Amino acid sequence: MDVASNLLAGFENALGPQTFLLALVGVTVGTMVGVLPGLGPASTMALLLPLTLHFDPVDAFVLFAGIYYGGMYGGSTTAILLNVPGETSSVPTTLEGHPMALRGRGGQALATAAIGSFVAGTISTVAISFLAPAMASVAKSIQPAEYFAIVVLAFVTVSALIGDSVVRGLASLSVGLSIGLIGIDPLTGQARYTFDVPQLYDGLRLVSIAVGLFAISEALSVASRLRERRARVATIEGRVRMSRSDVSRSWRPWLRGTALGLPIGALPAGGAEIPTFLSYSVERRLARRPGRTDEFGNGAIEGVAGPEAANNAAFSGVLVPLLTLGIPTSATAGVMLVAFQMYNIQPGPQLFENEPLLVWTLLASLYIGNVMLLALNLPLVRVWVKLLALPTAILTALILVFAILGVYSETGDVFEIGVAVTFGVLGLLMRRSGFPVAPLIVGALLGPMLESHFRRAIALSGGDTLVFVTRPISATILAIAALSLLAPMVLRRISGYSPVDQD
Amino acid sequence: MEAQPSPPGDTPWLDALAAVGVLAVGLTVLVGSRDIPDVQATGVGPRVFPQIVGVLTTTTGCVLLGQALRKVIASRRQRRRDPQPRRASTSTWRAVLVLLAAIVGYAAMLGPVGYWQATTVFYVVVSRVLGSRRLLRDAVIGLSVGLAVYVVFDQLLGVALPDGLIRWDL
Repeated sequence: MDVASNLLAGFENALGPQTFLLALVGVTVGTMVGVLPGLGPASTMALLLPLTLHFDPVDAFVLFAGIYYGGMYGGSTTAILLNVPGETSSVPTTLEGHPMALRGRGGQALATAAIGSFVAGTISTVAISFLAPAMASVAKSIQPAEYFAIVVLAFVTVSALIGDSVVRGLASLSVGLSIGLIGIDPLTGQARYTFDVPQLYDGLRLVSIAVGLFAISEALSVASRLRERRARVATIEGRVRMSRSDVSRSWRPWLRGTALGLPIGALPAGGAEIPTFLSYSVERRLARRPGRTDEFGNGAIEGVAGPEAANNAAFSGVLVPLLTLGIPTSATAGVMLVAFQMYNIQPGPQLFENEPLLVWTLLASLYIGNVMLLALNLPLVRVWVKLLALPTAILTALILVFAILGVYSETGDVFEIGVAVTFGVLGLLMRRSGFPVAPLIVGALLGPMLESHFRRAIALSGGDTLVFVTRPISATILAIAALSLLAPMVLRRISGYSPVDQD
Repeated sequence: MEAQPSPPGDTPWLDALAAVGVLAVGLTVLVGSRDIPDVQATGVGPRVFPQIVGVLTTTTGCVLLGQALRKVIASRRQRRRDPQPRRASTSTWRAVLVLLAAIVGYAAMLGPVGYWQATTVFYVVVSRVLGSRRLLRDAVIGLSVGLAVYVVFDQLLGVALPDGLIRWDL
């Protein structure tokens, strides 16, 4: 079958010594970065972009894929041990994982997270191998008008379904779109919002924005909280493994989590939070059935197994719209998109035809990355925990040095440091006032794409601006987008995720 | 770990400031769009999308401002009814400002002084601001990291980093 032979070719490529080594490095760096405060997969990839230009594109993406998954795993570790979620999608893990750690069951929590992620990742990668080419062939017949509608849907869901407040998400998105306007308009050569500053002619660089918003703002945030006491790190007593009863309680949540995570993550709609929260609610409700042990609230292993599997499956799912449509639905996916563009590769329907080896190697290395994560992290978890014990001052100062290095090294222009600092301050203020960061990045990245589809669609229709509502498919998608603005209220009731503030 | 937004509603004045910020961006976009000539002969020119974005941003800014002002009024009313001693804020904003100044200084020094030299100083300053009291240890770390990066990037990878006053050659 076509998929199988392609996948085999991908595996063959991915197992070459240099590529394999890079996968290993990626997974390790990713976990480390996921565990440490301040950097996450998105900003780490952004920092490494200038470096990886020297690499073969396939190798670079294998590295990024490793960082992507490693970061997710590192986030679960801090969720369980520190009660600090690495990303919003790790919040359910803190709910049951941390109590488990406090009761001395931290090893089991980590084990179920790792194995569950592996199971979910394996199933997802296989599923994606079939799903993605199919979607790509459908995607080939998509017209600019439909593309526009899909991007609008992605925007709406990223803004409305993440975080606590729809208005804040939209505000973040709007600011991101505004930032995306800066630069020379490709269709007419007209300079927009460049204020006669030459460095702005090509728009703001993503590396500076991402590093500023994540790394620098984290450093500033640490500086603003010096008087607060550090979170207690739960120690891992006993071995990091699971008993038979643990496994028998975990495997069904693993599968259920995967089933929730993959389809929802694969939609061109926002990310991994919903599946993980849904999985948590589902597992909690199922644990209340008669004859089952219900430890929810005190450290129920099902509450870690399900959400972690869902998290990994959703992560894999996010790659589907990225590769087949070129639409990133999370900040991390956004950075990957930029990485593709820097190699002059445009993800989208054509990708599977034009660069088959790249795509299949990427998918193969995802699978290999999953295996590596499992093999590495179960024994290495104690090392990561020791890292966390390093003094904050050292960690944060180092992060700052590397952040500035990453921003500066590509152009050697101090201007970029200025941009990064500005976004650092912005990021700090955003955190303090509860504004989600992902919509801003997605808006800044996709704004130009949205505009070009918009203009092309209207040009194709001969100047008819209503083309988006007269064409049935785009009209349907836009209607779904409009409904999605209301969906948060509905979904919150279902999944039981209650934010502090409602609007 | 990546940024976790804190729940809105903790600091009403900051929310108002943020709303004003969003509004300012929106108005800048709208006002700036007037300077963009609508050059395209057919279809949609380069001015339309900025105007749409400007309207969207300004609108959300207004809504946010309305929400924030309502919260400010509500919290003032609550404080008048139930006066509690204001908890001293634990935030150390001065450290933030010093850190910002350090970064700006670092950026300025990179060219004239050189990468590894500036990095050493920067690292020591930042560690101190963040609470470290072990000057010698930090100086050693800063110097090692700065030199290591300089050697790897400038010499091995060919990515130029400023040499400044002292140049090392492998």
